[in-house]
Amino acid sequence: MPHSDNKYIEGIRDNNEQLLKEIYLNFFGRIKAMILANGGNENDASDIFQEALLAVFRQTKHSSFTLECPLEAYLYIICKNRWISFRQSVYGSRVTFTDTFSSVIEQTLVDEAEQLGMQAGRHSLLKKKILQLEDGCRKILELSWNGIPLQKVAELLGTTYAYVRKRKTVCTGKLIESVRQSPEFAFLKW
Amino acid sequence: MNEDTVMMEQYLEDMLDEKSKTAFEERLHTDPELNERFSIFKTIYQQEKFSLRYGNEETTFLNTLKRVSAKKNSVIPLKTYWYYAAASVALIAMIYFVIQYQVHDKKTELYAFYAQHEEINLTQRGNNDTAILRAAVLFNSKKYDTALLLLKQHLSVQADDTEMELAAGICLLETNQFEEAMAKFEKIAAGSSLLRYNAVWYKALVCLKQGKKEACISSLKNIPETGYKYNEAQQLLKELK
Repeated sequence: MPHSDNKYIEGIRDNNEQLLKEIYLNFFGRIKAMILANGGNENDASDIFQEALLAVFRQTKHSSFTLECPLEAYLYIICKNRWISFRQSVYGSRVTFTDTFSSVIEQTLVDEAEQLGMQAGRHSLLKKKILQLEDGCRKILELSWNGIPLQKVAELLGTTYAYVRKRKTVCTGKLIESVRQSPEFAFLKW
Repeated sequence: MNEDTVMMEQYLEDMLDEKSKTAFEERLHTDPELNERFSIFKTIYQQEKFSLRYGNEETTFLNTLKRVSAKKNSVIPLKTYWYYAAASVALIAMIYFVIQYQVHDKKTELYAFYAQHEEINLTQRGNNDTAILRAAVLFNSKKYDTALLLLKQHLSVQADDTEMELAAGICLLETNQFEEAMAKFEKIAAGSSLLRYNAVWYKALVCLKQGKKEACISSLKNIPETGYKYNEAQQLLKELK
């Protein structure tokens, strides 16, 4: 049964600026409070909230996603999960957490939102590790990550498709190793 | 490891024959390391596939989020505002004096302080080329060399796009390609576009970054009172004398 907040899901799917403004106005405050209460700052809150909205955006493209709970609760769980795993990667698994919000929603929805939080964390780590690669690899993987087809990547780099394809395989291997070796990896339940 | 990466892609693309597929799945069950690497690969693969299909929409969406979340939309209580205004002035003064008395590498400090690039805002441009959208996101995320690749491609088909030419110049400056950067800024400065004084400011920054003090001063003096960054130019002139 769709929740009345499903209009926001349509707003996210359709890039409706007015609805996105409402989302920020109505829901950002509580999430910001949670992050500030748990060792984060305004920039962290802003980044995490944006990641959560992006995660929901991606969901809307995958299937006929229907929101069946308040959007605030859904976003809150995504952000909380994302923030907890980040804090754990820095301070260890025993990090304490102050919850500033409680809402009773179905466990399946909680699980779904937590998964999205994890996914946001994985993407964030991958983007960070791509930036740390040497120039050649970084350019290829950054452009691929941003949806530029390999043929176009080859054109942009002034080289052949065959070369870029080979390089990409090698660079992806390096990226994977880099992620596996990172302290955050253990907390992202890959 | 490269063979494994190739196999992972072939597996996800359903390009393996039954025998190879079964063998690979068997390895995933028995080799935890391979399983981990495959999980990470799957995330990368899925993101790339998603971006290929929805990358433009995602970029537009991110641009909208940046706009609606901009700090100027929030209402700050007056008392708090004055507190932050005073704190900002104190901070700027502190930075000014730290820069003044820094003994080594003053040009780096000055450049870092003055080279604050405005983000590319595409809202005035209407229907946007997708390459420009992605270039803007990369530029605004300070990924200058990757943004430059996309901007150069755009300029090869739309050479009269002064705004993007300026952005390309900034990317060249940030990646220390000084000659090319200077050429771009000189071209814009010599033209009649609204951005010509932006280009003069950036000519000064190119010289500043290279430690060419006299050339920098000369450019700064060419910015009129109504020109881009006039106040900053005057402040920088004082620091360079």
